[in-house]
Amino acid sequence: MDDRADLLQGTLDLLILKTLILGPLHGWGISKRLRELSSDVFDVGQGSLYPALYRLEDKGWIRSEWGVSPEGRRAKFYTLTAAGKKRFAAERSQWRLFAGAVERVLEAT
Amino acid sequence: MGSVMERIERRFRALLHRGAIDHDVDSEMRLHVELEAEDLARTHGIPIEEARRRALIAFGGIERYKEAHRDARGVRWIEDLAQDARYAVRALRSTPAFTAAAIVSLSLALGANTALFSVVKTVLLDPLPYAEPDRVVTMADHPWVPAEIVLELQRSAHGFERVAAYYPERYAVSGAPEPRELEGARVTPDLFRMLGARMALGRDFVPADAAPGAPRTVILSHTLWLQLFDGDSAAIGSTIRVDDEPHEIVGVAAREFRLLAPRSDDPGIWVPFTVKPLTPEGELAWVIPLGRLATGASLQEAQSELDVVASRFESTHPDGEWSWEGRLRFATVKSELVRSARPALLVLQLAVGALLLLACANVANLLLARFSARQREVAVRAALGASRARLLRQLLVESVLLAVLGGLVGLLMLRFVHSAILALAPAGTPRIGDLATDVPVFMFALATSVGTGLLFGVLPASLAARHATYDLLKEGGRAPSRSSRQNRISQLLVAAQVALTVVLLIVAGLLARTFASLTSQAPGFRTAGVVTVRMHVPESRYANVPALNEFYRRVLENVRAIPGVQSVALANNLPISRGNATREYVVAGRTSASADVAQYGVVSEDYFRTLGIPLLAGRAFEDRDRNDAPGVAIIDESMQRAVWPHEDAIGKRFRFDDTDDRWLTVVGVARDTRGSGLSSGPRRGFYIPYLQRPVNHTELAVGHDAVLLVSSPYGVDMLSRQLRDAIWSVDRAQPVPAIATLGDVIAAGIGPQRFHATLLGAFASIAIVLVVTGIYGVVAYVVNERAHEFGIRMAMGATARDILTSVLRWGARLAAAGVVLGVLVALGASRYLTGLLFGVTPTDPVTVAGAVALISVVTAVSCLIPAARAARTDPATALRADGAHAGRDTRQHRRHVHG
Repeated sequence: MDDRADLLQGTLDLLILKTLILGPLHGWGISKRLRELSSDVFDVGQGSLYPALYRLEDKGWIRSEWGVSPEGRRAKFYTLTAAGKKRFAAERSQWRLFAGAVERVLEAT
Repeated sequence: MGSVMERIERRFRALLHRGAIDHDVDSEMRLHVELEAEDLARTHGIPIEEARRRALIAFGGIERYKEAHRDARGVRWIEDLAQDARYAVRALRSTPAFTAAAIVSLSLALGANTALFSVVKTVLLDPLPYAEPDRVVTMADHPWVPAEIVLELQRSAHGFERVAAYYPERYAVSGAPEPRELEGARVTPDLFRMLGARMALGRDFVPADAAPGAPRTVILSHTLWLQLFDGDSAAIGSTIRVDDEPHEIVGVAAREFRLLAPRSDDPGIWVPFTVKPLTPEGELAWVIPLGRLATGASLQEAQSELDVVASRFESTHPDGEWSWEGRLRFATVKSELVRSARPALLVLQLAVGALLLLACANVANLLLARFSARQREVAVRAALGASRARLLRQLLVESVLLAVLGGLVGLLMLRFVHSAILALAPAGTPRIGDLATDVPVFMFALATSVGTGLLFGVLPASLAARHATYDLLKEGGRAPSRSSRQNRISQLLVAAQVALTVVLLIVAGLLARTFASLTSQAPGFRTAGVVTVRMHVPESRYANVPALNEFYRRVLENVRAIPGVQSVALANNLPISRGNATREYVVAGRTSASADVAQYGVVSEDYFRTLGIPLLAGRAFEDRDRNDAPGVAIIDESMQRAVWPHEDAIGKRFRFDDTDDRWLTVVGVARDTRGSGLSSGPRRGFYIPYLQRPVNHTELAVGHDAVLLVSSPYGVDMLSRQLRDAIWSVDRAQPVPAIATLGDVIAAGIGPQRFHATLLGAFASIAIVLVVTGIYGVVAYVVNERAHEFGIRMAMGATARDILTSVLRWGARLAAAGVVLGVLVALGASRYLTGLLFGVTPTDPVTVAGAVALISVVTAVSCLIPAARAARTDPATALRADGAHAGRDTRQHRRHVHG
């Protein structure tokens, strides 16, 4: 984890929501997809992932359900709720605004 | 975003199904590790066991994530609290003696507080059963005013929406199973509407009901309806005989309605009337006004209108027709109703407050010892990472739990306390019959319990949490002794307890002496073996004097014939309330500017013999003193002293002032009796034979209200059946309501004083129990701590006696400060008690000395057991004991402190 980027506070929520936009996933699936999508830059520690999942669920942005995984195991699948989709849209535009601003500042000569 | 309800629901589910959810989390985590391991094995080509090991290391402790999970769910604090509570229950159960002592202390104090709160709530706080009761006003101090004033207010006052009036009366109501005499009132037809009172059944009065010649109608109270008709709605439209006249029942008042009736279970009956300025006899009519302030009008505006009306009345009527001191004043019904109860309730409230503080000090002291015994445990928890706040909260949960348990026990006792209060409460305590354990009382008990728990818990808990240092762990497992600071605090607490107890003892002593001095007042007549029967003889039935006299003659004859009856007499009033009837008189041959007033009794011939009132000169009334015989009177000593101080009064003459009645010749002089209750001395008075009473004065009894006085060695239980039969054999329709011994009647007259003295006595007793435990605990603790020192002293030649006295002296010093403080406070505050006292000054030295003596004995007794133990110290053991030994000793004795 050392040579990988530390997640900015608050971005984990956004990233989790993003992985779930594409469809329900279980916890390990989320962390794997994050790793894949970020080319192994984001390796979310399980210690951050699960509390974040419970927090998001508590806020009503995702819901969970036990089901059977493609590997044939019983697993808890997380699904984005309607509120979660709205939240994702809001957070994404927030992030773009922020990232764009940071980029402009750094590019300034 | 999930709705608030969903979130709350989720939290509840989380709380309730903690086990299931933990299981969920468990399997989710395990799956994660499993999948991770498989992935590792696949991608890196390592054996699955190794992959699993790495995955586990990467994951960390599964337990940690369960905690994080719970934190994320936001139920952490509830679970912590539940955990604290479970822990507290375990801790309390492991020391049953301590727990029992604390709960008993607290339940006594909290129970007393809750009981008193329920009384205060019922008597002072509960809203009256009227619409907007704060706008209902009546007269302050003295309820009666001339009817003319009411009529004038009805005509002209703008401050009132409506002015109604009533006057209380007693009615003879016929009906099964026997004729009854009931408290009732004549009311203006608009009275119920003015109060906003609804009928449970039937209709309210209408103005036509009070019109002359209208059919007679009546409204029953809910209680009476239940008693007479068993809740049958057929009562409406049926007829009952009230004072022997048929009345149609038109309505039944709502269950909660009372017309200022003191007790809710009193049946009542109401008859309509029209306010007229004069009575049929042409005298001023007096009524009690009851008005509703107009919207937006203040009491002051109504008062200024009353001032105008009253001064007009005063200027148009001669002085003799009315009399009131100062100015007629309005007050809200509520303030008038609670005025008399307030000062006593205030004293009682302060007393139970003091009890609560006492109990708090007690339990705080117990907790100080308990927590210091547990310092090691606290330190271990602190070392394991419990925050100070968490430790504090955990200790506080323990004390709040104790207090709530104490409060619950107190609540359980409330039922019994209530029935005791109902039995003891003086007659006329407003609304006391409504006493109940309802939701507000329960909430009060809960709130005081929690508040008390925090109050007594916060000091010991914060001390314990502060001392939770690692140093304690280094002391090699020895339980540390208390800091000198803790000792000082616990001694201060005991001194404060002693002070509070002394104050309570002095107040209780003053009230007890008041009661004692009232009961020791000789009324001047015999109270033992005298049974009284109060009667109201309906005017409608006995409209003329001969009929009434014949009724009384036959009743006296029948009663006299009852076996065991030694003598029987008739009187207009009970001897103790003879002062209710007063009259102005003029003495033959004297001209005085203003006539003097004397109380008078209208009595039958055996009155003096029945009551054992000695005649100092002359003769008693005899059979010959009939209406056609010359007028005679018997005067009492006071009247003799006032009117004929240096002469023989026998043969002198006087008569009522404002009539052309015949002259009365003094035939006897009787010993003085108290005629206005036990708390006022005798006043001048005279007696006339009942057959010679001036019949043109309607209020001059023995008219239709009379008292039978029966002297017999048999009590009320034996006599009442026969007395009823004696009266009913003359008139089956005559109600015989109140049969009681004269002693009981007089005792009821000092009911308030007895009530106060009993309650304060009970509170003082509780205080003593609490202070004994308090002193004992602290002395026992200190004795134990100084065991080593005692051993040295004994080894150096001190005797057991020396040790005993030194401990006792130490205890005495501890208490002395409290005693001094308590006496000072009591002396400073006791003058507020003056209104409640009789025959004793607020700074009564005997009471103060008694209280000091009692607390000294109590202190000595509480110190004696620990002192004796100190005196039995074996010097060899005490000196050898050090380190571990001392530690064990400390624990042993600390167990003693706990219980």
